[in-house]
Formats: sequence, C-alpha cells, structure tokens
Amino acid sequence: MDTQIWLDERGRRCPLPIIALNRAAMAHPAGTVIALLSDDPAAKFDVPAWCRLKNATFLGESAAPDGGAGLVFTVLVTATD
Amino acid sequence: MRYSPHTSAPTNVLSMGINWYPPAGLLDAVGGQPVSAAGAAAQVAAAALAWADPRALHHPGRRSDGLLAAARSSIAESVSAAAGTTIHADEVFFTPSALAAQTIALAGYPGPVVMSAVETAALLDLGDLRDHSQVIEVDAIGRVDVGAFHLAAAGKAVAALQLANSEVGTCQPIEQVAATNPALPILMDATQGLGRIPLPQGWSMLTAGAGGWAGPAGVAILVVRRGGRWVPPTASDRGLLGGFADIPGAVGAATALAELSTEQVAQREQAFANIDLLRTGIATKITDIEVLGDGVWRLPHILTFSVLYVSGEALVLELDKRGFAVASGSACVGEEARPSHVLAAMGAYTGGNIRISLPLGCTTETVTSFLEALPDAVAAVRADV
Repeated sequence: MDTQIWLDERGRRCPLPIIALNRAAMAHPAGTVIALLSDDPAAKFDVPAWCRLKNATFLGESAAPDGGAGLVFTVLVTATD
Repeated sequence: MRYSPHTSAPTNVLSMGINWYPPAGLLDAVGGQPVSAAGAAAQVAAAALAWADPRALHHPGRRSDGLLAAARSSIAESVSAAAGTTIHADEVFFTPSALAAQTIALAGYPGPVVMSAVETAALLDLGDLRDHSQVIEVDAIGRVDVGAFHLAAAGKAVAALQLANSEVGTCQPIEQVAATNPALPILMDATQGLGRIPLPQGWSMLTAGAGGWAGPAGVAILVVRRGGRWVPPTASDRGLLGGFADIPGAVGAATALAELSTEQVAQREQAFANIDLLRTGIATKITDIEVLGDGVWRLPHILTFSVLYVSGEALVLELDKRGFAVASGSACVGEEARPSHVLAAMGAYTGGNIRISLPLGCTTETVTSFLEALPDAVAAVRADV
C-alpha cells in the first residue's frame, strides 16, 4: 500500500462524499489507499457498494480519529476505472 | 404535480379494458394510483346503500350486512382464483390498512417471529417487539435464503415473509419455506402482488392493501386459512376487524379486484414487458448505474435502480419537472435521513435511487417517453465527476 489519501467529508451528504471518493480514485494510481471520513448515514452502505461497482477494494471502517461524529472508510484503489 | 401531455394517447389502455386511467407519467403506483373505474363506481353506489351498522336488525342494517357479505365472497373468489385453491368468505376480513391487518394477524400467534430483512419497516418493528424474534438476511437481489430461514424457524411461533418486495420487485420463496417448515404458520404480505401475479401455496395468512389493485387506499384485507391455531385477538364480527366500518370501501375494493382478475394476464404481460424494456434500456443509456432486484422472478410492474454521483432527491424532483412521478429509497428522500432498509439489506448502492412502479393500465408510450427523458434528467443533476 503506497500513498494514503485523506478525505474529510464530514457535514456533506450523499452524493458528495462518493463524488469526492471517485475523484480521488481517478487521480491516483492503483495501490493508493484512500481514507474517507464521513458522517453521512448513507456512506456506510454506499462506500462498499461503490467499491464493488468500480472494482476498488473496501478495506473496512473504523471510528473517527478524534472520537467525533462519523466513520473512517478505507478503500484500496485497484484499477483506474 | 404537473403532468405533460406527451403520453395522452390511451389506445392500448382501451384495448385492455376501460377500467384504468393512470395519469400519463405516473410511475409511482406503490405510492398510490387512481381507483379503477369499476371500483370507484361500485364504491359510490354502495355509499348510498351501505351506511348503516351491519349488526343492526333493521332494514338499512340488513342492507349493509348483505353488501359486506357480498364483498367478502367476492374477495374470497378473487383470492381463490389467484391461489388456485378455495378460500372461503369467512376466511376474509377487512381492515383499514395492511399494517392493521398484519398487526391483527400476528396478534393471533403470540411468540417470537422469524422474518426476512426486507419486510416492510412497520412489520419489522412489530416483530422486534417480541422477545427472541429473528431477522433473516437477504442476498444481493433481495431474496431470503430458504436454508437460513429454516434454521431460524425452530422455536418461532410464526413467520413473516412477503410474496414479493414492493421496493425492488423480487419474489420470495414462499413455497420452499412452507415445504421446509410445514408446522410454521406463514404471514404473507401480498401487497403489490395480489391481483398482479398468481399466489403460491403454503401461506396461512395473507395481507394486502387494496391500493395495490387500484381499489380504495383506505381498505385492506386479511385472509386467514382455516385449520390454523390463529385466535382472533379482537371480535371478528362479520369480517370487520380493527375498527373497520367502511363497507362502501370494501365493496369498491372487492369490485376492483374482481375486475382486475379478468384482465390480470394481459396486465401482467404488458407490465412485465414494459419493465424489461426499462431494465435493458436504462442500463444502455446511463453510465454508472446499478439496476437492482431479480430481473426474472419478480413483480411485473416494479423496477429499482441507483444512479451514481446523483442525489436521489434531486433526480426525483428533476423527473417531476419533466412530468414523471417516481419514488426513491435514497437517504435524502426519507424522513429519517437513512437509506431504505431494503436497499441496505441487499448491500445495494443507495444513492441516486429511483423506484419505478407501473400503475394498472400504464402504456408502453409512458415507459418509452420516460426512457427518452431519463438521460437528460440525469445529466441535469449529475455533478461533474
């Protein structure tokens, strides 16, 4: 796993976090790890579904680093689709 | 809501009968559709006759009682025809809503419930109220696993499994679940399916809202098969349950269902073909979409898809501007800011979600004009990605 991209999308609702995720995935090569911090209730479902549709690998979710609202969703870019 | 006149030609509605006149552009029949001409006429006629308490001994009371009995018999006949087995008039009850029917059905079987994760939210809540109830997950097309259902069925008083899902159209394996759990009473939510598709064998109780078959929206039915251990939780005088007293509505509902029974095959085939047209058309016209649900073993008139990088709310409003009424299971559309529990249970993409449900009598012209309008509508609201 090469680069780690950090996206703070808190306060933004669907589809904005997924658009940010897609832009980051397009802009970086396979092997990039993207960490998306989002408090959008749809992100829990849509980040894994986006990975499945766009051939990225969903690595998991974890608590926000500052203990605040939202979750960190981690995605491995596997193809520049 | 404004509807553009682009699909006004009613030619193939007329060829299929004169009972259904959905507004052009109405693609949200689950959310409501006009009462059929026959159902509305019967309801109005009955309103002049059946206003008295059917338990009263006087003439007006006996007239109400007679019309109520006729409505029960008619529903029993229609459900018999759909189920391929005899349902008796005294197995039919009227309630004010499908949820009321489900509440009463479950109340007749105290104890834990096993149910699929894609039952209606209200039914899932009812099950949750009971200790040791269990929810069975579904696969990516929204179907419950028969083996998992069987394993969970041990020790349960009753099962709740829908005929088909009202959000994505996928049919559930009622007969297989019944065959593997012969002693388990199954409550089958047949809303949107009754009147549209044949009914499977093996259920003990059926509930359906009359709006699904273009009957009055404030009428629902509960059918309880004989021979079960169901105990009516409330007095079931003359088939009225849950405080229901709308006999004209029951007459309208029974008439609408009977009329539909005679046209069911034609309606089913046309709706199925129209949804096929949409399923393939949408996938070729729009990039970055996910078409959801089972394309084959499904309700004839329902299709759900999600469009990436679009807000469901914005797309619903954009389509409305263009004369099309559609629904959405996206979080931004729901009141609780959560995506549809059905889409979530399937692991589907929940953003930019659109549910199409064809009203009875929906023409191919409406469907093709929607298909022509959709790419522009998506382009108008899709962010630059």
